Amino acid sequence: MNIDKSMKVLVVDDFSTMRRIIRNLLREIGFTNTVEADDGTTALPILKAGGIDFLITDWNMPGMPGIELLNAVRRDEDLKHIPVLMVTAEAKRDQIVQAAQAGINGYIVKPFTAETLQQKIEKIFASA
Amino acid sequence: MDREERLACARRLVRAIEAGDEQAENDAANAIARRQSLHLHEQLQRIAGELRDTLCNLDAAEELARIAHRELPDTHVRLNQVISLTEEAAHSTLSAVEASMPLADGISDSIERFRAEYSLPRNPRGKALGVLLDDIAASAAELRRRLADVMMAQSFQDITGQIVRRVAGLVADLEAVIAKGQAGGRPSAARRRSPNAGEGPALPGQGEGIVSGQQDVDELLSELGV
Repeated sequence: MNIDKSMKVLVVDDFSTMRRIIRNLLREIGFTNTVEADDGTTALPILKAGGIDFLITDWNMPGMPGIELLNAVRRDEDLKHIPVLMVTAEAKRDQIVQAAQAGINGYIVKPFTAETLQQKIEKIFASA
Repeated sequence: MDREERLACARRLVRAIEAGDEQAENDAANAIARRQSLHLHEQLQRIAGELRDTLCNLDAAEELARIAHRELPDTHVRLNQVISLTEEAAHSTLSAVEASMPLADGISDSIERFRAEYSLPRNPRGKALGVLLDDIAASAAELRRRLADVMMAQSFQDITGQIVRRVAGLVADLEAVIAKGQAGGRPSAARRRSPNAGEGPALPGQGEGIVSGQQDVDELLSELGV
């Protein structure tokens, strides 16, 4: 699998424990270049500042939910190419359809396993 | 008192007055009066019942307001406490796991390096040493896997935290409704939430339109071409 493991990953979730777990899992797979944000509102400036190659985001966040962050990314000329993986407890079929239509590259429901995260990341970058 | 009865009474009264029969006149007048007062009594009973219900509702409203003032604000503090405590505990555990994983890795690496550098003597002692090293390496690998399990288990704090936040939101809605009711206004729709906000973790048994797991998600996504 030829993923550039030096790529910069932004992890967005309003729970610091979840961000920590995801960053640990990314480190296990070999991604050590990770940064984090606690909401869509704090994530967007980080994205706009440039350099982010991959976005992993929760849905349910108080300021700007993940689906709105996704929409903002897909609307922005400079950001729309960034692969986005949603990792969330939101499990309604309608929401998954909504995310797919908004241009999500992968969707993981919580609780999830380390294997699932690795598989979905590999899948996203295999077709990238 | 029905119409026929009233007419009969009235006719008796008229005949008694025309006949100059004072006794009969009083009897007929009293019969009419009795029937009127019965009617009035029934009305009074109904009014008394309504008053009692209203007073009960007032009591309930007052009790509700007392609870809202005294107990509900505490609820927010308590719920936030739950989130903080679980957050601290999860972070402590993650710190311990993050410190332990390199130790387990270190054991595995040391054995691998040793094996690569030194060949064991082909005698019983060498054989025993080989078995020991294999056992230790296997244990270290198992330990490593268990530590990974412990780490993943800390995701409970995210899920429970989301549930707690949802409950806190409902309490806030309740407070708003009670406050509005007290001020004499009509309870209106509570906090404005973005339509994209999300619902939080699904309740067990809430099957309507909810995926059953990651496999379900994957199938749905591949139908949608993702």
